[in-house]
Amino acid sequence: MDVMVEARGLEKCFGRTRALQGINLSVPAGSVLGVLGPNGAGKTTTINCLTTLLKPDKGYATIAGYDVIKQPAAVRSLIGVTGQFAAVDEELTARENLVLFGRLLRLSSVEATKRATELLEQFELLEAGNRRVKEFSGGMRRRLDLAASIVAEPLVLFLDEPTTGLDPRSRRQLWDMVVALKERGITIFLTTQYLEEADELADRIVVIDRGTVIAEGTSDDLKSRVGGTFCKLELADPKDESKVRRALSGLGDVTGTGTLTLAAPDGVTTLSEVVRRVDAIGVTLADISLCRPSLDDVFFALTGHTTGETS
Amino acid sequence: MTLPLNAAQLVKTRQEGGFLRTVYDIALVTQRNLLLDLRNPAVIIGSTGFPIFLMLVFTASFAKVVVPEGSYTDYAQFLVPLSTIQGLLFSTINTGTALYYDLRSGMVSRLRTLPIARSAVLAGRILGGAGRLLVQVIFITLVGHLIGFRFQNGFINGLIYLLLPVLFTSAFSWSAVFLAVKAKSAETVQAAMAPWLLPLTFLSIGYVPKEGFPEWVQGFVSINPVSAVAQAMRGLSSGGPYIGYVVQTLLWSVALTAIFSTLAIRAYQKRNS
Amino acid sequence: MTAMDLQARAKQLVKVRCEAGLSRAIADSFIIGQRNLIRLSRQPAVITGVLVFPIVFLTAFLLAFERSMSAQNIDYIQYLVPIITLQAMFFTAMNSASNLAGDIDTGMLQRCRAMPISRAAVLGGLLIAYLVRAIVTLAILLPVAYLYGFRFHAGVFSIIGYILLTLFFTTVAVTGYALLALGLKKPDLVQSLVIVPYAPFLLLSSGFSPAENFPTWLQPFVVIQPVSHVAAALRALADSEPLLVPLLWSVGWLIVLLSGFGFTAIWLYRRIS
Ligand SMILES: Nc1ncnc2c1ncn2[C@@H]1O[C@H](COP(=O)(O)OP(=O)(O)O)[C@@H](O)[C@H]1O
Ligand SMILES: [Mg+2]
Repeated sequence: MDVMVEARGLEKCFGRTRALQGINLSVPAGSVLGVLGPNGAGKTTTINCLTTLLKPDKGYATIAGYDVIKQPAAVRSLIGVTGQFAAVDEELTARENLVLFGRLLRLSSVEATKRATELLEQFELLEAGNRRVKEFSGGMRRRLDLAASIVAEPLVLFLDEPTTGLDPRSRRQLWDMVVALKERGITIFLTTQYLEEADELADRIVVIDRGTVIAEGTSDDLKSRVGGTFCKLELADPKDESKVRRALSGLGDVTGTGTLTLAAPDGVTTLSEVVRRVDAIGVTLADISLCRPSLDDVFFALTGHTTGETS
Repeated sequence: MTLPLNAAQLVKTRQEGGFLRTVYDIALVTQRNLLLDLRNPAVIIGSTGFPIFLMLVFTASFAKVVVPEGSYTDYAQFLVPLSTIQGLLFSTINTGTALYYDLRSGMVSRLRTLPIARSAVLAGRILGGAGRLLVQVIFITLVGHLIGFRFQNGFINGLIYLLLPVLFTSAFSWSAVFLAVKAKSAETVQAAMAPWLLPLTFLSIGYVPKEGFPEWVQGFVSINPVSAVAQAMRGLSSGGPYIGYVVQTLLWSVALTAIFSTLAIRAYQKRNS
Repeated sequence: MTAMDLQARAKQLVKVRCEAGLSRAIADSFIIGQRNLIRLSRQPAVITGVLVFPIVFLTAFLLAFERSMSAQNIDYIQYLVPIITLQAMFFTAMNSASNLAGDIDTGMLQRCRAMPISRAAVLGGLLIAYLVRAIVTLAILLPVAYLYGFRFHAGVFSIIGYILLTLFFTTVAVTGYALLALGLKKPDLVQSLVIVPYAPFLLLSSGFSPAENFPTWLQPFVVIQPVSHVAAALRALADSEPLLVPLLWSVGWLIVLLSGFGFTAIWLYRRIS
């Protein structure tokens, strides 16, 4: 058995909203699947179906071979879930929260306390451990939430938009923690609105839109379909434009006026080559940067509409 | 870069202050608060529906106890004024919680950064509350009419009857505003108000006449401001002496406003969020 | 890990973490109950709700109506304490609904539903915590009532019976209100609607005033509804009066309501989204 999570033809309607219209996906054991999609795409609904919170109207899904619909209790023994909104108790301290979940997962009081300390340390919350959660920042809350879902080590961890609304530093911290969990062999199912996040964490990416899977593959697969990284340069003096175009010929198609862009398949290598050539002809640049395609770019390339038009 | 106006000009055109500006600012904030009330009919219905319900239930269950020889209508004529003032006093809790949510959501901070009158936030809250109170008085009185309550004392007195409790309750709502500014959670406002409101409204000449109480409580009953308001309203609607009670009510209103508005404004200025 | 290892590990986890069974249900309920109690002990509003409210109500009603009631030959303290007890239990249950709605709002409920814990644990834990709160309330209310002159005339057994019947009533009320929270989900909506079951059932009962004092057309409802019967049974217990009829009615009502509420609540819990 090397498939840990499998979904076939999941469908779910809420009244007249067709939230899922046949989701197919599978996650190999020990890998990270990134589910990428804009707001309202059906990410949360998919997670709810896979974690026994919601019964799909049609289709089936399994976790480690256990049927989500027919053996929900077994499935719950194998999973950890971090929902979209940090579900921890405001009035309780971080430690009390973790002990609570530990005891619910059948650790003894002593074990649960020990485990709580371990997790607080691992998630850099030890100092704040005895403060009430309502005094926590968004990043701390998220980390605690993540810790709470692995109090008893799961086989599969579901993370629903774990970094939405976090500052860059907290996001980076959380990513490191997810990577650490992956290295322990936990299979991870992660939804996100950021291509960058999926790129960073996921082995494979599934793009969903309006309740269906519209693309699937590794991050590189997707990028090559979208066009991958590109290099963007802004000239200090627009009059130099034709000179620069000539200097860059051979590196690839240069598009745009004023701000020029060209594909940078080799990333930084391409960038430094551009800088070298522009320097050689004595032109000053106002700005130069490497850009990755955003979720919007991916969507535009895959569907012909931008994310905003989805809902 | 050139600004369309220079700083001095901006300060001149936008700066707060002046009587008209202040009135205008307060009116705008009041309008906003009234609009929010209007968009949340559940709150108005809840805070009006409950006193109306209490009034009906008390009429139903205690009329024969309090006025054994009388009819339900007689008791209604006696009870409606107190029910009205009780309903209004309880809805000051809403005034407090609404302000609390504004403080917490950052709405108040935003208003405070605008070049508008400093008094606009709190005064607008009280005036917006008064608008809602007036609506409630009218509702309660209409339902009172259905169970037999009648104005027997002319149009002008009827009008004063409607306005007097609004005035008194607005003065009282400064205490809710004060608590809201101080409170750490919305329930605190409620938890701090309710234990006061219950004895104030129950131990008044409202549900039963003064003689119905044990002697040792009668002293409190007669100085209780709610008794004064209820007696004034009773006089205004059914006849009997009322000038003295109206004056008492007005004095209480002034005193409550003076004390609690000072406390509230002071606490408000001390806030650092 | 090889594929076989993984399969075996999954099997083992499923076995160890199995959520079914009565002992699991009880153990999990107690853990969640404990958590709810910690939360309750940290909410200041709860403290007023438990300590102050019932006593304020008791005092206010007693002072306002004792004299008038004695004109009807009713010893009002004996008459009043049971309904004040039930009212306190209603407040307890109303608060449980707000807390449950809060848990739905924060996602706590979903988290519990996705964990391998008993399906009954969330509701069971709610019930346990609020029964503890009910006991605390009784431990404060009954001594105060004693000071006011309330007596159990049939000794220890009547006290135990009184407490047990009250707790049974609380169980039904908490379950019923859980239904409200599970159905409505939004905390502010729940907060503004908790009053809806309370008002007619508690106030239109023979708990505050005998049924004969109500208008004739209301009397059938007042006589037949459960709160009247439970209040009557509690009175009979305290006064050492014929108990069988009111007790049978009460227990009958409570069993019917509990099974109806219980099944619906679990059904809603299973399919909430
Ligand atoms: N409980 C619900 N009731 C009604 N509609 C829902 C419910 N949950 C989700 N939806 C709808 O289903 C669609 C997918 O929602 P969701 O799975 O939450 O999207 P995402 O998590 O990708 O933002 C949306 O259009 C949303 O409005
Ligand atoms: Mg979502």
